[in-house]
Amino acid sequence: MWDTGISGLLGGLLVAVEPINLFICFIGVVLGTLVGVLPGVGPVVTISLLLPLTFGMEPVTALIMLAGIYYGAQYGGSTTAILLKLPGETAAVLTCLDGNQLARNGRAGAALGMSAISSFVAGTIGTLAVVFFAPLLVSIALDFGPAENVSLMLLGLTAAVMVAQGPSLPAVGMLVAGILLGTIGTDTSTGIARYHFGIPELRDGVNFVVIAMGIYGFGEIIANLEEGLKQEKLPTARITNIYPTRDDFRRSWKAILRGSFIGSAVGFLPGLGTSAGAFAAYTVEKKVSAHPELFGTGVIEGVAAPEAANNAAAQTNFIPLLTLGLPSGAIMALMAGAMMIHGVVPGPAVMTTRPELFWGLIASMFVGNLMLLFLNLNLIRVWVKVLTIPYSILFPVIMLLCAIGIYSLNNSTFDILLAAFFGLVGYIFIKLKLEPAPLLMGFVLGPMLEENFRRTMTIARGDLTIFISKPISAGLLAATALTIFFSLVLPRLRRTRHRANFTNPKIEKTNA
Amino acid sequence: MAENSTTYLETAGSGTADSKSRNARYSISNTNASAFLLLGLGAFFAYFGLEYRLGSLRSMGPGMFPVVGGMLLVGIAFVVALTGRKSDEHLRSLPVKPIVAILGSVVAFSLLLETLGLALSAPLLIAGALVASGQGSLKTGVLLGVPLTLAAVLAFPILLGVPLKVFP
Repeated sequence: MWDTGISGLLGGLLVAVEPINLFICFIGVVLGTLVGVLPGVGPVVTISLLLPLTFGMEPVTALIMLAGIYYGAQYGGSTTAILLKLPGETAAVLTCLDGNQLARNGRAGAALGMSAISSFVAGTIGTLAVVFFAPLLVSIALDFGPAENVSLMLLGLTAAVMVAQGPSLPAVGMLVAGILLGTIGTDTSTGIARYHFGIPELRDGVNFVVIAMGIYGFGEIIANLEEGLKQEKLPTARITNIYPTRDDFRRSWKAILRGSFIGSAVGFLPGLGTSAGAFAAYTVEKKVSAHPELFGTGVIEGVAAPEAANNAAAQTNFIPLLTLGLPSGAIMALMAGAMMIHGVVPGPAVMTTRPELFWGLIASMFVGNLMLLFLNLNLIRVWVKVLTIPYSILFPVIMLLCAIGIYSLNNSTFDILLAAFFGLVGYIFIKLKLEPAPLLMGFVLGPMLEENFRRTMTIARGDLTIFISKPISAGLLAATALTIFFSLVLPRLRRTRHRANFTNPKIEKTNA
Repeated sequence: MAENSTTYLETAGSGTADSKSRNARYSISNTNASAFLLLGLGAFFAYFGLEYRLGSLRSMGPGMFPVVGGMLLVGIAFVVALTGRKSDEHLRSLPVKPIVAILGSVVAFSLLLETLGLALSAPLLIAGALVASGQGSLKTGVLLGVPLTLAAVLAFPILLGVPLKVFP
């Protein structure tokens, strides 16, 4: 009954339209848009903050809300990009270029409307990609043993680090650091508590929310304050007409479709998040255009393509997590952690053992995208108002919410202290331009990696060659080697990413 | 990890917030600082992991994975330090005020929460945050602190049922 994408999806729709799930999905996408609009607040902090509140919910309901925050943020990010030339969300960097020019030419409404519409089309196409490709991957991964799991995790983690940042050894170091931090607490195979130093709270290990909030909450606040509180001026131009013209659509529909497909493909690869998708789509659009010289001066395709790509990528980002249990970035690592808190081990088994969760979450993405279209076309004035909230008011609110949120995880004040420590560490990471996402990914996957490795070694009686004598495992390791090789010989990718980052220095901190 | 970040702070913790000024004496390149950080962390896990049984590959003890991982990280740190570009950006100073005020008020919040209750420790946290921003006046403190504390008390212990003490 659940064996094909379509029937699964129909079943999932029944779950997604349950009143509680509809309501929670709505809350999720509204919050997502909100944090997308606000430049200093990212989805990582928001998801960490709301996670404790989902403890009492059904797992599927919790995941629907957290996912809504993520893809909702992609919608909201474009509003800030168009009006303030600041990416509200990382992936909106490229929307700044033409979107803000359009706003300066008095066409802010058309740019905002086009970004909402292309986001919707792309989000829907991206979700369809999840529907069709997820079951395929699950069928491949379902009979993986521990050896294959180890190789798969190595491939996923290497790809996430290498592809996203080029051959960056410090990033690999951050990954190993995350895996090591994950060993704190009770060892599942022997029951021995490691690295607790007599502190009872550490016997249960460090909660990943504590690390995420410390780094992305407190750490970023310090970095933002150091830069100084600049009050951004809103453009005075009134947003009169939110609907793009017929001519805008004639010029953009191909860009939307191309952007959706590029975004879907890029989002599916580990490590290439939404911003890489937007960058690729913008570049392609400029290449195929008859007037590439007009890009950057305010052409509507320059908004449609990257907005389509980042939203499509935000949906297909879920494929590696839902099918293989591999998070492809900091946010997906949080989603993996959220699943584990709710007793669901991310991996190929989720689709068959918890079909209502798997398909309910995917179906909710269709529903959520529809809500977002409505929210972004009709409530744009509200979001513009939100933009006027200064950071100097915002950050004390974030601090208080983080502190209470961390406490509510385990009713432990020690966790708040620990988060303050990770705040300092996270700030140092930002100063050193060390990307924290690999650390978070390593932290979440580390315990699984260790467990699978130990199990493999027990089965193989300590023979390491098992990893290359089993064909699937060998293939995955070969793919890992290829990934490393290509990231070394293709420094082009790295350079283009640098250029993308150069557009706005803020991106490096908020990159999730 | 803690010991390492303090050495780092000492190396770079003086000077003004102006990162443009070239103060060679107290600067450390980003590459070297990253390497120190990773080295400290790796050494920490490798050293303290020796307390636990290592076992063999055939039957791994609880110490094996983190000790090997820690040694790997130490190795990575050395390669980072040796191969990294030394010409990259240097860290010269850390902004003392936001760090102390933000983290200090979070630490104070965690220490006082269970004795003073939320109604008193929340305003303290907000006061600390405003000091950190350097823009807080008594007026903004009251205008922000009072409604925020009320909202927090209403939301967490009352509406969401988080077991939090509200008053001392």
